[in-house]
Amino acid sequence: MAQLIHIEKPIETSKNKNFIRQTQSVCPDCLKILPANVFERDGKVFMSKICPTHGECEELYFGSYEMYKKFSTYWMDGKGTLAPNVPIEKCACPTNCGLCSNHLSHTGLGNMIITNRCDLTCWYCFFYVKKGLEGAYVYEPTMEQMTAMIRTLRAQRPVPGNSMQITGGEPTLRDDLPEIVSMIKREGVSHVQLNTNGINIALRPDLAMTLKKAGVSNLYLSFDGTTAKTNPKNHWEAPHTIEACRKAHLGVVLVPTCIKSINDHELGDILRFAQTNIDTVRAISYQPVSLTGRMSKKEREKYRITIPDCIERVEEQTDGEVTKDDWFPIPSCSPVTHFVEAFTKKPQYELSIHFACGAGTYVFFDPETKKLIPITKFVDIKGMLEFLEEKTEELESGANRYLIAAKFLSKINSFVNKEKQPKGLSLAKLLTAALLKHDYSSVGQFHLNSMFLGMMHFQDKYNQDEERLQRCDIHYVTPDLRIIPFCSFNVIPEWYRDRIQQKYGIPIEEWEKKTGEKLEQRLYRGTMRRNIQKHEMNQMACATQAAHIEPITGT
Amino acid sequence: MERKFEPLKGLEKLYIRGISLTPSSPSVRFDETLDLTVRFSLAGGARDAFNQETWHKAYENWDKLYRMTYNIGIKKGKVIPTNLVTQKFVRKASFYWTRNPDLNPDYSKKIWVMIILEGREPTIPKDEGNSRTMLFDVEKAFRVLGSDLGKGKQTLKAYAKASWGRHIFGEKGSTKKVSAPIMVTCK
Repeated sequence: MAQLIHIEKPIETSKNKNFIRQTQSVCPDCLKILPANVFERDGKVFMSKICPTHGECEELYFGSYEMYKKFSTYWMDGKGTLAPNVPIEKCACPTNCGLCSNHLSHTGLGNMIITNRCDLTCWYCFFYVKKGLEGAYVYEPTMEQMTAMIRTLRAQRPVPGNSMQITGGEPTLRDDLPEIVSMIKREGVSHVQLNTNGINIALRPDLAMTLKKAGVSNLYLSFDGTTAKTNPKNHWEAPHTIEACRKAHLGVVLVPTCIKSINDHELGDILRFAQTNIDTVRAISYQPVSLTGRMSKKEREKYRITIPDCIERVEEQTDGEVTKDDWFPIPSCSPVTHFVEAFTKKPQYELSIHFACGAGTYVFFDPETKKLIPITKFVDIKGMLEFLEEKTEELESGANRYLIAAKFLSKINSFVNKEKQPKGLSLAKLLTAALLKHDYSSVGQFHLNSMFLGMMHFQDKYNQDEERLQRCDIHYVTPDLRIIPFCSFNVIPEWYRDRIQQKYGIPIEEWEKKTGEKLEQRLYRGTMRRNIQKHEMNQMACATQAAHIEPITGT
Repeated sequence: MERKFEPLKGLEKLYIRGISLTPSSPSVRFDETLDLTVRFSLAGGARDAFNQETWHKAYENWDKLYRMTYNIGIKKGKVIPTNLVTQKFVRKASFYWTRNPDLNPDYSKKIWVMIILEGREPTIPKDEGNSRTMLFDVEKAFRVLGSDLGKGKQTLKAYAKASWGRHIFGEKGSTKKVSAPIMVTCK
């Protein structure tokens, strides 16, 4: 177990470093909790920490200091949970997660792993169960366990968990997946997202409709690039998956894991691919890679990419259609939430993660120019957020809410440039419905007319910042009825993910005996890739016209 | 979360102290520019109480953002003064749970502040005094053309208004003050 140590003086910073703040992190070798300096050098933000045993570790924290400054102005601590599962007095992240009484965000998105089996065997994945490894286990919680997990999520106060992601392994390998989805809906969760590689849906398109009927809101589809080289996982299958979802009216979020020198040259192409499927693709969630395992500094520098780096790549690769100024940190939603809270006097769902964790923007498709129009091109976002902050303060100072509503209605149009607004869109109307009626359907309407571009940078042992972890709102529910932040669960698997799943899993042999199935039976053998003819590939595969199509490499 | 708190009792209301207007030169040519600096401070209970102890109270009461809205400007003319320049800006104090081990050696709950100055420039102050300076002390330089002043001897005054909402630091309110007049000659 890690120990708390305290180094009396902050780490010395040299003259070319501009100190920003001090926080805590862990030693990537021994997991000791250490003081860490966050500082600027050459326009980028770094983190440095010194372990008395293992020495200094310096890591790129945020690829642009300018963007760091812009994002940090939206730093706003959240409500946390009033019903912690781990009541503790002192805060010692990343130990004792569960959620503890010191956690500062309620669950924004709950994750439930329903299996650690997968139909792929990606070389870099450490997550799925592999036959032949000593002590390997299959983790598949029972319906009773899953129901209890969802009830734990729903028991959060003041905001019960309301958005759930079913994940794996590959969750579509469980035959009872539709029943699991129905159970989650029955327990009152509004939004159910399915994290998948989409292959089973490509193979069995009717599954999309079955899942939609069961209550799945959208797929969270792994999609690492537009070429077979960058996306060996599902390059040939993803278009079929999207087609199946299109027919089932099931939305899709594309999820590229971004790795410098591997696929960072295709972030723009991914956006173009999404654009051609904008009727079904609701969002892209770019995820700068989290570097797991022991890596040398040189290797880390080769692969490390952060949110600002990805944002800059998107700007370059879309010829400035989506610029870096179009992005806002996720907690910039807080003034909207606080306005609705002050207006309704009820606690609202809030995205109160750390500003360095995530970013987003909305883009609208202009059918005339065939271009994407970021929301910032026709809405004064900064001005609107300032206005909402001001009105929230007036409400909280006792102003009449109807008077404030009237002021809101009279002012909201001034933030929207109607001439630059895409045709057929009335954003002021949508915003009025969303903010004053504050119902889920009006927000849904807003999403349907646009595509959300998101960035979410999960941490690793090299860049972990406990100030970020304490504010994490992407959580895992576990059978021991805890709710564990993503960056504890996956960054320190020996304390959380592996330990819990091993406890609640069963040996592979036992699973095979119980189910009468062989673990390898469900592995995907690349049938779609083998059967598809070359000319058909050119039509179906997800490469854009500009992208180079690589030969099939197989899995 | 509904904010239910009573502002601290017995705090003196904020007021503007020492407003001044200083020209870069006592005279200016008609086709040249002149720098005029407005300086003032907010003094009173909320400033005195702007410390870690009160930040903690504010944070515990879901009062995590404290905004000060400033309207400042310079007027010219003696009988019927007219606006020469005006500026409105907001400074914010955002309270957050810090993990800085120097501020928080015993790993308990410690609240610190980030000050967001106009132009959205964020700064984490080194100490409480530094935070008060950032939030409550104002120094603004305006550049005006001699032609805007008009030829001859001109009387100039700076004015400032600060307003705030209801927070743990006090009830909603505002304060304003005008500087002593200065004379500037435009040739």
